[in-house]
Amino acid sequence: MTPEIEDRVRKTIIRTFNLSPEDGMRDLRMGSLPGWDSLGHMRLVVELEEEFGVAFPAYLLAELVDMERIVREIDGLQSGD
Amino acid sequence: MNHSVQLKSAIPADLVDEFLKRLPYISESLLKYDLTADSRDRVHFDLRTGGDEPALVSSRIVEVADKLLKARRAPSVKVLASRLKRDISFDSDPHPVLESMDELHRYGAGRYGFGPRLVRLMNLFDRDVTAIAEKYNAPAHQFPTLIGADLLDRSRYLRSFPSSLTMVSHLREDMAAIQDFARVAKWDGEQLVHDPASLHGIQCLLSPSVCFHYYSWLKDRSIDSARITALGKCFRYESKNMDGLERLWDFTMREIIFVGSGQFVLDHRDRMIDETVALLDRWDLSFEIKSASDPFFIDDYASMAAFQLAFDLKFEVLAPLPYKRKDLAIGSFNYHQDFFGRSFNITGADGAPVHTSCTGFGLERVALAFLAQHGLDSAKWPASIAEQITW
Repeated sequence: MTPEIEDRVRKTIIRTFNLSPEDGMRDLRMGSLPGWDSLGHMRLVVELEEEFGVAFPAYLLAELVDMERIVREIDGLQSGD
Repeated sequence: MNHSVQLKSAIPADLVDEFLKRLPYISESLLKYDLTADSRDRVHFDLRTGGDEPALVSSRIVEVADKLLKARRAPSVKVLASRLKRDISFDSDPHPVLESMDELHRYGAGRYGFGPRLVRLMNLFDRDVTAIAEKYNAPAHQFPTLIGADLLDRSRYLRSFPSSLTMVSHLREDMAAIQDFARVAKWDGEQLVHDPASLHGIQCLLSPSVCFHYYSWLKDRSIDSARITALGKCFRYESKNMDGLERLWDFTMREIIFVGSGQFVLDHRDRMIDETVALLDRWDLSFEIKSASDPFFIDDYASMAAFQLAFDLKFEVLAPLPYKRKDLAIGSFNYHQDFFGRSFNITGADGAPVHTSCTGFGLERVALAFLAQHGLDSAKWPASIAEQITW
């Protein structure tokens, strides 16, 4: 994973769900955090789009369910893949 | 119309119906309204005199549009089945004929009574759906028409669909309040005259859906899997949108409900979709099955709708109504992930919250779609129906 993108994604997740620094170091995936439910997921998507200046296509929303996948998709969108 | 308001941006074509359906709820003073057909960025409206100010109503219209569009993204609609090529020769509105036959009686907005022929037709449709439930060993249950406010609170329904709720109350157990009510209660032509202070606080509502009852039934249990079917009356208040049998306040729904692992309920939802395609083919209906979202009445509408579409949580059976040149949702296939498992503390064999899905058919809408496409002459109906019913 791209370390810089990974770090910013982690911070965005921590900020969106108001996590403690300790919780922020856990395995971050949908369903593993109390706030990462359906509404929380869409809040996170919007926060990530603002943070990285990207727009996730609708078909990708269901895929953005863990750190690794989010980082990979942002990396792809930023490099124009 | 006398007033108009400019929206910040145009309403996308696929959201026009959703936008217009929300406007009746913004003000009791709103009489008529319309969105400019071409540009879709201006709303014209009329207000009742002596009610809300035009500026207030305008700001609310803009607010509804903003919330609808907030965080919206282009929908990626999936079509699971399409049977739209069947020739439909009938294109008249069945309502006037049904009323002239004394098969349909309107009691009020969204409230209808049905005569023997319509009842037989709806029963036949229900029997066919129930046969699918039996094939999958889903035994029949029966639930109350009333539903506890606690249950709807736990299901997040109160917050997600507040505009469609139908509250139930009764008089307080207080002799003076009961006597006072009996003295003043009367119909004034628009509503019941009474002192609201004589009413007890709300403990129950009329149920908006069937399956919630079953999730509550399983509360705090650990189960491997379960499947049931139930027929129930459902109530969704839809203000000025209530229109004939298309959009009833009080309607009848047959549901088939699955509870278990994610794989189990998704497998069975797929089977329900396949069974439904075969059933609608037997009824010779023109239809499509497409991904859909619920009409959430919340600030995060766009987000929730996008989530439902992205995660394939809801598919609807859409049947064309030729007389309206419009589609009508007559059934749906819903996957709730583990939402109800978590809400009602229902766990699976592995200790994790169970997943749930339900398949539902609105029987009045099924009957309307059938009659709108095939007409009211049973000699012209498909054999699978005409063999059992003659009109």
